[in-house]
Amino acid sequence: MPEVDFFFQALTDMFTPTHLFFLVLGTMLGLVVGILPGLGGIAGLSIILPFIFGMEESHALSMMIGLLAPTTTSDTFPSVLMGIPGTAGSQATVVDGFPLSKRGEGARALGAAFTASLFGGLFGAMVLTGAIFAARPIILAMGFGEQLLLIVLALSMIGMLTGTSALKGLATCTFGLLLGSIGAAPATGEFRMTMGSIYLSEGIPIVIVGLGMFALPEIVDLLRRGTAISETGKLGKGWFQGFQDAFRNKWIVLRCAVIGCVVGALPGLGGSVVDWIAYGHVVQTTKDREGFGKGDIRGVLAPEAANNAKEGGALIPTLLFGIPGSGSMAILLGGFILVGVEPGITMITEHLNLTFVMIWSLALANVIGAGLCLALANYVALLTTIRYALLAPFMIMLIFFAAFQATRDWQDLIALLVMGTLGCFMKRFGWSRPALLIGYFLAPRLEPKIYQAAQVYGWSFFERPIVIVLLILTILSIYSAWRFSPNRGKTYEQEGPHGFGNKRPQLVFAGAVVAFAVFALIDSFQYHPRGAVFPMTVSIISLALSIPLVISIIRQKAANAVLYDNERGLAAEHNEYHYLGWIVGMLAIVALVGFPIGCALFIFIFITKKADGSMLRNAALGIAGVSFLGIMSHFLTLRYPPGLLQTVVDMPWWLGG
Amino acid sequence: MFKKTTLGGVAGAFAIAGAAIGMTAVSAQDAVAADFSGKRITVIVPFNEGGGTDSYTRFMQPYFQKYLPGNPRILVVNKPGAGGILGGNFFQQRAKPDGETVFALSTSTISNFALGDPRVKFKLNEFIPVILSPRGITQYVRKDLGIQDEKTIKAKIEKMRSFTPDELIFGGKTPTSGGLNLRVALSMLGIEVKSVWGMKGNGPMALAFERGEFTVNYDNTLSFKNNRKKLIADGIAIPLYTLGVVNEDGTIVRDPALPNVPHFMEVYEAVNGKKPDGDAFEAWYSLYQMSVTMSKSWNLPAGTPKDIVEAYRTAAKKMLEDPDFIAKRDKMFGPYPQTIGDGAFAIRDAATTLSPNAKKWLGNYVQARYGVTLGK
Repeated sequence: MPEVDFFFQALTDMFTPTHLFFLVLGTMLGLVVGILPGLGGIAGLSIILPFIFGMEESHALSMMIGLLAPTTTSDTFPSVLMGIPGTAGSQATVVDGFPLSKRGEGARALGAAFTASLFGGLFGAMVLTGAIFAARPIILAMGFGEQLLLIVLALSMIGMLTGTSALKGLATCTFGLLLGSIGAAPATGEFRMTMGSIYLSEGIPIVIVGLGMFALPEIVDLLRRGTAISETGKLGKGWFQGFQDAFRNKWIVLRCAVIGCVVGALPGLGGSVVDWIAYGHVVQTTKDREGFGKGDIRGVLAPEAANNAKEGGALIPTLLFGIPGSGSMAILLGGFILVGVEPGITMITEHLNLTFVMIWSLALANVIGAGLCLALANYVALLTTIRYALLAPFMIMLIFFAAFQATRDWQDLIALLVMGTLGCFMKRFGWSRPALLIGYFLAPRLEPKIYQAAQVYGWSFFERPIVIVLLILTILSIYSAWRFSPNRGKTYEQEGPHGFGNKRPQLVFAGAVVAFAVFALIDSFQYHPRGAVFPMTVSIISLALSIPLVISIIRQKAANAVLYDNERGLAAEHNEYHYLGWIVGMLAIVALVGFPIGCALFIFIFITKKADGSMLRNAALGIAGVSFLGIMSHFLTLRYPPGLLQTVVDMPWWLGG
Repeated sequence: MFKKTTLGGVAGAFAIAGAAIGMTAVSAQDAVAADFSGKRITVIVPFNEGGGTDSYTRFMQPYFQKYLPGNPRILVVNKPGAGGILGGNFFQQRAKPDGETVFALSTSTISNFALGDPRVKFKLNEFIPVILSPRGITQYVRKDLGIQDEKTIKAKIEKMRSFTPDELIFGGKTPTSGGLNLRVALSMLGIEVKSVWGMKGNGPMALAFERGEFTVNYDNTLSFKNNRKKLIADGIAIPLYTLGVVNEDGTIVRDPALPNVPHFMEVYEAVNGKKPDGDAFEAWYSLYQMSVTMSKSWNLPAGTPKDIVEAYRTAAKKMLEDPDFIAKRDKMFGPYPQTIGDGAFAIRDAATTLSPNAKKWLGNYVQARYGVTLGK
């Protein structure tokens, strides 16, 4: 049994000091980039690529895998504690993780998340071990038709994430699909809805949509509440309780790990929605759904088990076919080429030893990563007890910096501001942000697959067995969304956010959504049929959903699901425009003096105005924040957005030149 | 009131400190030429991390760090978007001719420039190439078509012509993306294929080919040999022809990476009894220069002083002689000769300009077949 020999040989190799050193180094870096919002495996891998060159193959591979594995573990810190997804893989974790933090149970949520992550990661590594020999025919069975249905199935998960009004949720989804079709049409390359902007010709970067939907609205909301994140000001019981939660719900963790592996491995979906699929699944399959969205620990376990298991899954097509399952896998492939390993069938014929090194690295990195995160959980959770006005300017600086890394263009910052404003109002009026995000993410995958399946198979694709199975699953998923909706037959109190009152603000917002669909529809008339049919169809569906919604809002005379305005019952000193105004102000300073100086000033002014304290301390905080960014940029070889000053005076890079 | 003044004061202090540091940086800059000691050189890659141009750039990065005078630190900055146009515009606008900014170029950026994409704001035909790296392309088909049973090149092509477009399914990104020259070549041979658009790259296309959904496909020859080993070993992928490479006296010869496979010109001659000519050929030849001869390159901005250009060329030459590079070059550079020096200008000009007739022909071609209009 030579395979088994290789398997254990690789394990023994792992425990040589140099190997462990590179693995741990990679893991540490992975933990850091995972914690920083908006940066993930892609940023991490591009830091180490220059050093990979010339390294011994197995060292380089364990370092790269070591880096990738824990990013979806440590990204839970900002998701749970700040409500800001650390990477795209932990967006769903925010939904229940953050309310837990607000309740003062941040450490428990982290404990549960890390335990689930650890299990997911190990499960992924285990599946990879077997799949490397057996998965080839399965992946080859997934043709265009199967991939199309897989995307449709994922889209049906939105049924569980619509919020209180199904009509509103579905309208949001079509809005997301339209946003996702901005830019070059996949089949013709025509530029849709770009209004002549070159920036938009590639669509809005996914990182920016994610940060805009989840990070900025949370920051603004917390600032308005004016407290620490933990409303009790306490930490509650520590991570050990979360550890126990994971064990109590072991079947959920296992099921979601399976989902993560499968979604990661199969072509067509891309890993970024795996957390939402797992989340939708757990809501679908549990009986007491009342607590979801308000801090149900199962809503943390599901996405965390899935997003770590995904890595093992995504390595299957990467290693077997040399075809990356995700963005970070694409860079991993780049790294393979630099060390001279060609992925493909040779990974099980010639390079089996390296394959096993990677599998062991994946497992070990998960153990090290989760272990370190667990050890730190109680301390990092202390952040939630700090007054938020002290944290907010740093968070704002970080997410704008992360947004800038999307295309390194000033318009990234503008795009984040626009998306963030949209997110704020969606949050306020109860439009499901996950539904928008999933629609946005799946649109550019759905559209080409429709053409491809139609062109290659015509109607005959409905005769394919896997297509039929996926179709039945989709119908079941839609049925259960309708049948088991947590909001079915629910009534609403006049006192709550669903109450009857001033409807003008939400009507304006709903009107804007209708207007966008009209714009998309008119815009679509000018293109080649292959470029027009998708936005045209979606915008008509969008209008068919949002116009009745507007009418329904107008006609309601009492509390109802379609009426939602979070402003009712929220006593805050300032409205959202106040803090959005602060952010615009920061961008204005940055535009004048560049990012580092502008942010230092912003931190100083913000803390002085909003939290007081000695001005000397605040200036020090400003400089410290920017220095931290500078050190990070140095090691990550990242750049800053320049300001007007930089065009006049030549400055070194760390001042934005 | 007091508070405001202080705020202003601090702001001023920040600004002055910034300006002062900036000044010293400026004076240090113009001290010496063609010595990069202590400098940070930025290579702009207008594509994502992990892509072909990114790997190409990161592969060369350590050698240029080693061989450029003063051993500068070289950073790779990815500025993806719009098929390299965003990065190109950025480079045109920002890069000073001081050798501290380099632009990595690949086929799709050149073709966006040459085909007149209205978003292009850079003058590619003025960039100064440092190193040009050609890469062959191989067109292959599935064994189910049975062309392997035909003995002569002519018979193989006749067989290909006998299929309906529904049997010859050929994927691609968009009508005007990288595969256009292969479609034109097939048309010149009288082979009609059905194009399926919206593919995300050559990886997914090869997978669809392996599944049998596509029956016609292409790859750059190196990745065909290295990444499609199983397809070749199982006899699923049958090479039809390569596009060949241009040798020193400007004629197209067989691809040195697949010397047993005939090149397109050979095939055309075998089928038609004469060399291809006319507007169609001219259009094809321009597309060919873009995708094969100038497949990947590093470029300096227009107006870069001669000593800096020479420093880069010398570094590139030293890289080619580096034993470590020689040991590793096969997977990235293959057996293809690299162009460094003034010879690169002629190739650049050929690849970046499309004669009016050729452009008109190509415009009609994509309009008639795919309903897509080319830029001006």
